[in-house]
Amino acid sequence: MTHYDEDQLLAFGLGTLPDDRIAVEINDHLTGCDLCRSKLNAIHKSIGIISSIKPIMTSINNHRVGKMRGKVMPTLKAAALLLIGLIIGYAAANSTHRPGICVSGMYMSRQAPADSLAGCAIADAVAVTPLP
Amino acid sequence: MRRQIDFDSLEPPASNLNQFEALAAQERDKAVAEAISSLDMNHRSILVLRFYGEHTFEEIAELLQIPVGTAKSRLFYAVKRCRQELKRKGIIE
Repeated sequence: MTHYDEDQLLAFGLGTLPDDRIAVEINDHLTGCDLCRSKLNAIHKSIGIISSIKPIMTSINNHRVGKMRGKVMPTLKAAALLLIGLIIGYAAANSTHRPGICVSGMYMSRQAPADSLAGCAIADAVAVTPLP
Repeated sequence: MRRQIDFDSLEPPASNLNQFEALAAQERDKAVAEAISSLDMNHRSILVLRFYGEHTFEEIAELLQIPVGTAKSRLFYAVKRCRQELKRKGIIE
């Protein structure tokens, strides 16, 4: 009696045999062959183990990547806009020599024009002079 | 007088057995996941569509725009590779 090898039995178990006639032949053989039947049982068991694992990790990873993108991209955009704002504001504060006047109880400080908030913050930190 | 203990007759408590089984299942699942991950995209996608999506070979062939024979041979190769990997790790015989 010629036995079937593992590849043939695996293809039979998976239903991937190219020809249905081979499947019928193997099926006939299996009815009278304990050895091939036990091999096929082991193959079925391994297929069951492989097919029992759901691809959760993939979806979690994709989900994580999506979440990371959702968090990182807006943050980067905001940081880039802030940086651009600081640069423009600083440039505007230095290019226009129009010191603004901020009156408080004790101090007068020069500040950048009102249209440049970033420039104002930098100017406030640099130039604070006491009232006469 | 020293007590004689027959260690062969001892069995771990049922809760421990469950823990061992859970641990073994965890190891097995990890090995299977690694084996599937080691496949290239073409073979992994067939495995996922066939086993988890429960699609027929005809549906897979249509979805991936490949011949039915190619879908079959890719599934065969994917499972064969996974089995080899699991055998190497002693997960299956």
